[in-house]
Amino acid sequence: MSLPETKRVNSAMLQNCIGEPVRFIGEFKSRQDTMATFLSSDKGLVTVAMNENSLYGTKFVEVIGNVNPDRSIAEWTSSNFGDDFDMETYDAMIVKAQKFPSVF
Amino acid sequence: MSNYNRGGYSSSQGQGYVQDSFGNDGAAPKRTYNHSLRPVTIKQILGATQTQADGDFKIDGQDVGQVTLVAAVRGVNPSATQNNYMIEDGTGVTDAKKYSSDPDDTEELGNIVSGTYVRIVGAVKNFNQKQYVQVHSIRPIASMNEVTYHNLEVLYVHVNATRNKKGGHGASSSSSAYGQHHNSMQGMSSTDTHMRGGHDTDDVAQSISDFIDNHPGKDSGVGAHRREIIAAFGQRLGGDNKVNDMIAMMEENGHLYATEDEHFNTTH
Repeated sequence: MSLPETKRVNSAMLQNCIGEPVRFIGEFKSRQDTMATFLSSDKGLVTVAMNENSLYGTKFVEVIGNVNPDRSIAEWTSSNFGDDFDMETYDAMIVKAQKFPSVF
Repeated sequence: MSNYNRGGYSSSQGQGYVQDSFGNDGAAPKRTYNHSLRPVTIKQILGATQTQADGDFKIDGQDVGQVTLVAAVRGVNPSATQNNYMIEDGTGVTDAKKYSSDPDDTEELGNIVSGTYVRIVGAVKNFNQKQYVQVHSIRPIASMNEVTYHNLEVLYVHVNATRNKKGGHGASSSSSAYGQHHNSMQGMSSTDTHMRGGHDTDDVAQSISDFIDNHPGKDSGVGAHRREIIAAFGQRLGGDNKVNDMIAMMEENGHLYATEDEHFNTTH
């Protein structure tokens, strides 16, 4: 599967990325049917519409997918990101990365 | 496939000493192997420029030796000669090729599957107008924090590279604390030497002291004449005035004192 360029986002950035593919790392909180709720790196709540392959094995999960108009993410694929991921540093990093579009 | 050997690569991949030809006739300077290691994103690799075909790549205007990156494997294509991994890190997609000549290969293939995040060290190569990575080492990352760490490192090196290029901050920039990056800086153009003048000042003062110490005038206590110091250091410092300034500074600091008639001696 070939993936397009995906921006790393937190909950605040989702508003600006509607219709675009994004990369989101969140702490898994709960799940209801096909919708999962995550805590983002900037302490917001993000909903993810799972697909048939979604399998969240660890506390932190990276979800790659498209942003729906209601700011939820339609998942294409996800990766387990372990149980000890540093969300604070990650958040600082993605905010800084926004300032360097030539690199990111 | 034979494209890879153009230019006379010798010995094992990733360590080979790149030579222009056997029996260099001196027409082209011998290329020394660039030992720098640069953290990059795939976007930077794909955007790397090449001054001449088969020449070194540049990223942010700097020559690139080897690169290191963290990316997710999205496709694995093993073959007898080399394993081809399709990798992406959110900024782009490219191929990472590794020669499968090592015995630890089966273990590598077992550990790296689609979806695995890996740390790659390798060189930027070009094939069919497109950049790819010739992999020296590839391994799954141990902690996902390495993703954050790598991106931060990329930003840091990028900021240093582009900021120093403008010549603004000079020798005081923090890049000197970043060991491997400093190596790649020294390969830069001559604008760099101006920035590194700060370090040279101390060396010159020492050299002037040595010059006077070795001067016959030292024994008699007279020291060396200003003209002689200028003659010896004028070019290095860039002019007579610069030498005079240096002498004045050393006098102020107590390293030199004036003896008779435009002579200077060292105080130690």
